[in-house]
Amino acid sequence: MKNLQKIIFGVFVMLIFCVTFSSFEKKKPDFFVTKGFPKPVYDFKKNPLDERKILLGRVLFYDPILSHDSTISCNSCHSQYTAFTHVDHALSHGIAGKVGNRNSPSLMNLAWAKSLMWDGAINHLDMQALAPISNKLEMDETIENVVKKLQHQKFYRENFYAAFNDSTITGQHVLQAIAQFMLTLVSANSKYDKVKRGEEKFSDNELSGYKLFKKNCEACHTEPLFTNGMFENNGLPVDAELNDMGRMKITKDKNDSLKFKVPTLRNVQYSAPYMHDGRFKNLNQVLNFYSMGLEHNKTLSPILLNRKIYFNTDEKENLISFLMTLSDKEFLYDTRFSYPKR
Amino acid sequence: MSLKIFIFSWLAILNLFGNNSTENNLQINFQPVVNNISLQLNSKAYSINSKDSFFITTFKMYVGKIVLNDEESKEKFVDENYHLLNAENVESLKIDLKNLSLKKISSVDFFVGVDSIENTKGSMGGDLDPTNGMYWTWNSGYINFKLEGHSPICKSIHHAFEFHIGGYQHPNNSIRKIYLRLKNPIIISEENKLNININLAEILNSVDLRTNNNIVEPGFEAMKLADNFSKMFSIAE
Ligand code: HEC
Ligand code: HEC
Repeated sequence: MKNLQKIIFGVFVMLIFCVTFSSFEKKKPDFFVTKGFPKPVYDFKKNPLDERKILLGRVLFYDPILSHDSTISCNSCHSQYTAFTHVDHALSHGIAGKVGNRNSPSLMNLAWAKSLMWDGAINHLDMQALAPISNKLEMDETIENVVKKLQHQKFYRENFYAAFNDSTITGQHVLQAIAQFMLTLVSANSKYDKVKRGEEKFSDNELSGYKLFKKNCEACHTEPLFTNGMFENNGLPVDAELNDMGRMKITKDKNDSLKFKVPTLRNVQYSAPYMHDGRFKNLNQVLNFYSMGLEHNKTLSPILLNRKIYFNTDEKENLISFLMTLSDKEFLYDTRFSYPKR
Repeated sequence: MSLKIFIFSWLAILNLFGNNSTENNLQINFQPVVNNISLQLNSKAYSINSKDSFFITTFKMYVGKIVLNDEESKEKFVDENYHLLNAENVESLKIDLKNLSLKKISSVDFFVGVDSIENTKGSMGGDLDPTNGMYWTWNSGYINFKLEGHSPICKSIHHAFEFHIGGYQHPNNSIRKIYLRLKNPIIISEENKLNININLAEILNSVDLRTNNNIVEPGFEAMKLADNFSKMFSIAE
């Protein structure tokens, strides 16, 4: 008798199993690994991409519900038309007009990022959203409360159910969804990429600029991502007021003083102002700095210490025209990344 | 439906038949105490070393990778999970280990804290979900041990003390292994219990609360405090 009960129960369990699994087959997006790019750092096995999760992440990215007073969304500081950086602000502006400590970086090709933030404070893309959500100057909220607020909305209950097969919203799922959207922000269709694929040709100026780049910049702004993902001191004098020591804040190691994560130069045309504190308004100022503004302090990268960089006016122009070939207009206007209709 | 799921479900069913023999379980019950008195959140307590009083308002801690040993036969039972103990929630202090393979338990070891692999895996759920208030947001990593409260001797705002101990990166990896030997080994029967005391007075006595009352980031101070974790634990006979 007891065994009969078990058989019935067993068959029942199996039926439930089959039903849930067949109705919940993953919708794989047409993603992405780009020719010529290295293997992504992000481990997709732990958070496999799914159209519904990506869409949910996108909705969250654009929803000010993530901030304490529902005024600030991720998009407030990372807008698509400027390659997902903050338009025109050297230091990002957050909740109630409060000014942050750093320049918001552009967001792209994050699947290849070894760490996040200028100082590498965040070790995994999944955990990134926690930082702005909790920052008093940015969104001033807690993930606990975000989850509560989302749970109150029928829209989110339904969409979390569709995406994760669970209408009880958790911190884990919120973070995974936002990470999925950010992973899709791939920029790999600039003129530079087309030249590499043999579809277009550099102009003479661009080509001269490319040669200068290879000689002077490539070591840190390494192709094809245009960053080596490392922390370097590029000789930027410290701002006495901000007194930002960069990587040292995280490692507490003197040798990391004034080192910052090398930013990508893809779409650099759109991501002004430049550097961690946004001190340079245009690329001309950046090149003037590399030409003659380097500060020779203890942790200055040996690459820059051993190479005297000097650009004349023509060289600057050529280098800038090369940097412009890293612009990917399609990325800026790709409707898959824009404000979602709910 | 894939073949794998089909086979798996049948295996699951067959498994139901195999389970007719009784299972042996162990419940570990962690008991936060202040010296010999069981911890009452938000009420006055005293430590042995001083006449000074203090109040504990929050106590949370990760325990993971619990291993039960039978040192005679060298048999082990390993539980790979991480558990969040929270003084506010009595249920969280009880950890059920099911289907023990051992006949005897003569010692137990476990980690206080979350290891570096788990710290760099990305977003996780359950006890490791970031909504548990045990994850740093400005600098990735779990808080392994959280003890908050106040005492009139603290020279701080509202006389508060705050210890958020964590950090997983060398040289500031604050995870600690605890090893406890049972004076009276447990001979396994169907239901077994093991009570482990966590004496928080040991931690408060290990620092000078007057001035050293705020350790909230990975680093040297956190490492020093973590070195005292092992003093807190004892088997309640
Ligand atoms: C108030 C402005 C602001 C808001 C709102 C904001 N960010 Fe940021 N974001 C920044 C700044 C500033 C940095 C760089 C901070 C640092 O390095 O310390 C940054 C860094 C990042 C990075 C790291 C990029 C890299 O290459 O290292 C990612 C990813 C990111 N933000 C995603 C998000 C997401 C997702 C949200 C919404 C949950 C968000 N941001 C909300 C300003 C903001
Ligand atoms: C030693 C490594 C290194 C070399 C070589 C180097 N850079 Fe940089 N670059 C950096 C670092 C690090 C930063 C960020 C510094 C900061 O914000 O404090 C940076 C920032 C920049 C930025 C600002 C990007 C932004 O989004 O804010 C530009 C533009 C730039 N570099 C261009 C160049 C060019 C052009 C060259 C060659 C002439 C070059 N770099 C050579 C390390 C390097």
